[in-house]
Amino acid sequence: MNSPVRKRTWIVSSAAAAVLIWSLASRIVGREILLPSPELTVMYLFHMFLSGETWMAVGLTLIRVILAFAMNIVVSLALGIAAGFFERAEYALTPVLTVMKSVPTMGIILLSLIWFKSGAAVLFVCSLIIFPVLYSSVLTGIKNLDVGLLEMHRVFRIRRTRMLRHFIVPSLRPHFIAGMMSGLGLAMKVVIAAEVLAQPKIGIGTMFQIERARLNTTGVFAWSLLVIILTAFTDLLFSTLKKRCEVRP
Amino acid sequence: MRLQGIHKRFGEMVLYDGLDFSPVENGVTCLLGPSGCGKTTLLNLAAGLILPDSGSVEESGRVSYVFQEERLLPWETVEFNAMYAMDHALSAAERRETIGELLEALEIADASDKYPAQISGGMARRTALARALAAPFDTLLLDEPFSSLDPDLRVRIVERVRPRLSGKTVILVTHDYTAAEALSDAIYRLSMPPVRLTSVDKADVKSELDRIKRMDSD
Repeated sequence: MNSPVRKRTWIVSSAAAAVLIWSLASRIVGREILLPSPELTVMYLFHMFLSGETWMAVGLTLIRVILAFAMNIVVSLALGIAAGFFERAEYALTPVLTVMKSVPTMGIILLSLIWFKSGAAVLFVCSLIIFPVLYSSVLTGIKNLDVGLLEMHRVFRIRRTRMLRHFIVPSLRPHFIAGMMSGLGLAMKVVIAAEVLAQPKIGIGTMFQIERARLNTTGVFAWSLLVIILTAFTDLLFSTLKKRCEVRP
Repeated sequence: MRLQGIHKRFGEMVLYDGLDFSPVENGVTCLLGPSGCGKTTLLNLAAGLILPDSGSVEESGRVSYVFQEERLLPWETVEFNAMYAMDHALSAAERRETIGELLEALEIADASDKYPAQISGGMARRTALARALAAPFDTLLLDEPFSSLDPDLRVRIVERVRPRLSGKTVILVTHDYTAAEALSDAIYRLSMPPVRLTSVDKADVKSELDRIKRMDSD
């Protein structure tokens, strides 16, 4: 019932159905400026690929996402481990997390535009959104550490660095990768939204804004399609990574 | 190592009500008793993993422990797990050599590059035993170290472990007659809670064990 072939068939059929509905809807609407057809969007996307500007925008946005991720991986690991082992640290971080989780994204973006330059603003916003996701995954991982193995480390007086490397980090890996996967989709969306408003010189969000200003709806669709493809690709990358971690006994 | 006036209760059940226990210095002390009579708890107290409600536990130096469960790192190999608690003042080559001999003696050298999920329960047990024997220790706690080994193998393993215990303070919890007789300098029987310790003559071990077996099956 759940064979890989069948799974793939369902995924492809669902995607094909979505494209079909999109195509029908664009025919019914009949106005490119409101709803361009899939054919037109894909053609525009190919046209975009020929321009160096597209690759620069994709590259810079990805660099921003990766940079924000890298920063947050380090910080969330450090704070997550601290909070996991010391209740006081967890309590102290609780209000910070509550604020980070509940503050409206647009509010943060607007504030960060007031406080920072456009590039830094994007990083700041992205951090604020993905930090709680990564931090929670680390904290959950620490709380689920095998008590028997923890006691083993205590009895044998294993050095902390060794324990971190051979016990804690490997135990956290599946939780952390799951956190990264949900954080990544979120990060892409938020970085692009921040770019739309912050208007750094180059970036996917900036391109969105330019296409919108030109009233080029097909362009906005094509960029959206590109982001979907990028996210699907990185998702695939992470799920392969996750599988590899799970396969290892 | 000395446990004095230990009181410990779990909910309504009083496990120890002023228990005194000192293992033989530089010898093997064997603890026998029916399941649920607090043998493992006694080892956990000795290891400092749990605290008594009152009473004192005097530890003497470093402790090594074969836990009731193997407690191996699932993502590391048998060899790595066995070497994990070794003294890092030794060079990597020295550590490898020592562990190689030990794995050979415990008949798991062939499995040294396998992961815990790929080996049998008996092999995992011996990996945990190798880790405990290779670690630096003054007191060694053994909780059923020879369980899940078939009788012939058990006899061989006990014989090879024996010289490695000489001159060390060891507390051995076992149901195994062979191990108790071959290794112990002193044997105590634990009663059902509240626990009392009774010294057992080595010659009486067999009949004692038969009695415990009958108690267990009741």
